[in-house]
Amino acid sequence: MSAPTPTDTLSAGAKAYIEAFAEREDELPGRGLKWLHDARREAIDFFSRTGFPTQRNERWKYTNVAPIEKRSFDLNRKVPLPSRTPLSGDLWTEGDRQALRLVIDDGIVNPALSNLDGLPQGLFVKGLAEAIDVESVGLTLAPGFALESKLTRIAPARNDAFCALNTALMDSGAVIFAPPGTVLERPLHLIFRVGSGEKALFPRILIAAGAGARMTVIEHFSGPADADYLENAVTEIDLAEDAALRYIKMQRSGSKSWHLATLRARIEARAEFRSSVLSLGARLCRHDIDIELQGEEARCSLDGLYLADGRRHTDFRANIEHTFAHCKSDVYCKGIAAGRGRGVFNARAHVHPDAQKSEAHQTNRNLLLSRDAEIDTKPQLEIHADDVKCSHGATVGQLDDQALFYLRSRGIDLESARAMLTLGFIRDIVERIEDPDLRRMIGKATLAHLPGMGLDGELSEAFT
Amino acid sequence: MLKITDLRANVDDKEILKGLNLHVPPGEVHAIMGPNGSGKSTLAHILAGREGYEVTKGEVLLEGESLLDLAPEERAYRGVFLAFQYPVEIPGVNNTYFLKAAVNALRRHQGQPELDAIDFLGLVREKLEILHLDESLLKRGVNVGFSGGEKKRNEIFQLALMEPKVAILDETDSGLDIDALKDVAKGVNALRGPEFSAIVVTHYQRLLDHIAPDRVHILSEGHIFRSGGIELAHELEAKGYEGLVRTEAGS
Repeated sequence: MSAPTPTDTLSAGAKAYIEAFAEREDELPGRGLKWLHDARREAIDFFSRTGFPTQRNERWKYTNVAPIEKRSFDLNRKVPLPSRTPLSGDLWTEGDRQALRLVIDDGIVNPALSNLDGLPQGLFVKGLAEAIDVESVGLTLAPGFALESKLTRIAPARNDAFCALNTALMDSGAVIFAPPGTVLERPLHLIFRVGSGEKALFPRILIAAGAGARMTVIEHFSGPADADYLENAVTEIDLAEDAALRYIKMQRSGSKSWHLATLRARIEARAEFRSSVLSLGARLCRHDIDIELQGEEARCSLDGLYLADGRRHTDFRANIEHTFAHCKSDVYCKGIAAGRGRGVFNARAHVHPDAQKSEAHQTNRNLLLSRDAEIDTKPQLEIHADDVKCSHGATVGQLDDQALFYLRSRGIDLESARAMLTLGFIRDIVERIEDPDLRRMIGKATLAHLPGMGLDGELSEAFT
Repeated sequence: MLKITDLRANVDDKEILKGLNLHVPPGEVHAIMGPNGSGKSTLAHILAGREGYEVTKGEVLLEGESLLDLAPEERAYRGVFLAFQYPVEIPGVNNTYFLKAAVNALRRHQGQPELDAIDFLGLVREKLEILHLDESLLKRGVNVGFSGGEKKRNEIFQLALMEPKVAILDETDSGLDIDALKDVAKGVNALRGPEFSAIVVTHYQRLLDHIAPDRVHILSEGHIFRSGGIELAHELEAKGYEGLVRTEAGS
């Protein structure tokens, strides 16, 4: 097979990705797995036809990715392991040496900092390349687990240009499988760190839970404040009947970075997907979430928090397909826009004709802290069944003058009063995280990103 | 303690206070009564430094220093406290956290060491008891889900914690049952002394049966129309504002 020829209408920026694929095709993980190699080729073909999305594409109406297209990130990273200098980035779970974690530095698993001791019998957590490697030599990762039926299948490349690029070029990430009935009591942290340099990273995460399995997985992304890098991540989630996944995404990428994340989940009967996506860093961030409720009484809740201060742009898009009866979905997002920042919320629940007794709710509340900040919000319901309970609502407001005066009249200075009200605004997003240790960690981390907040001792106590 | 001279103020270009004079000496409690729209709440808000009022003339001195150019928090540091007619609900801001921040902000500005959690809790418990407030209110959002009575008790609870020099009670009695009214009065009376003055804005004599005022002023159309002792409140109760105005006109 010859490499696909880039269409002439594509920009030089887009062509660079196609050329990088042609160069790296033979060394990317899974070259020997026909299904995976085919998936990569289909993905790059798709991208060759579409290129990067423009704002004419309804899905990308509010987010301009042209600056990403114009940049020339290092797409052909060949850094030999020994020469790599250790990263000094945020280890996130530092306070807890026993925390279960897989640390991925610049796309390569760092075994010295990872800790996967004490996983329940049968539950596996592997680096992506390692998992693919096992399958490549004809071994199976676990009985009853077929990588081929999940990886690139839950989030197919035709989903979107960024999903396609990730599929073609993915070389790092994690594969997690909890066999039926397995319960992982402690949260599992996937910690993605980035060193210096203008590189592009394509992490891929697959989380599969067998029937009745339960676990908590946190994805944490961070990087240096001054590095201009691209993270194009895809997370695939597959929950069998009665499984439960608590998923938390902490996007704390460097403030000059570009973070695009696709999340697709298939949720079978009576399974539950509870997600909190906190978008705190990066200059441009997009979360592109698609949920398929694929059996009766499947449930999902998507909490979100996005901060758009400075010149930051953040976009939260979610689509939920209610295909079966008695399913429930709940989207609850809060956003803060300050400076010249811009926050976008775009969520839709689609209730199919047979999905009677569906419940779908969407709430989006926003706080505008400056005149030049912008919020675009669009909660949508598309309902084709007649016996459903659905609601949606969006608000955009400013800090309450009366509340500010009340606090100031009690001796709390203007800046602290604003910080207190801002914290009050986002508080419930953090408080909806059930695990007290996680809640504290996440609360503290979130405070550190809030715009214009002098994080003093008092305030840091707010989430204890 | 507090001296207001010829105070004139507009709201949306409409003159609400029209040359108001009031002097509250140290240690005294003065009641201000008056019909709706007479400017009572405007006066209370202007004293506490709320935005949206344009002072066109006059001055307000606290212990000889002008208040009018100060931010609300600076007035609080100097000892001004307003008990709100409508205490604001602030979801997501924990009551304890708010109270501790307030008390410690005051202490910082008054050159006192900040209270740690244990000292603060001790202080809080002592004051809660006076106000018959349940400790569970501390864990809730500021005023969130409080009943009308709880909100007003919470105002006086804050007053007790902050120990100001001048307290302005803006219709604190409205909507209170007799038990809550007594608790509120007890909270205020506990602070009475040579260093404490208060302005009690009210419609009814009822509160004044429990917080005995040194002076009673009738505010009407933006200025003090009559002043006297407690007997003025009784006269008002008997005749109503209309009657009082007629008496004045006839005399």
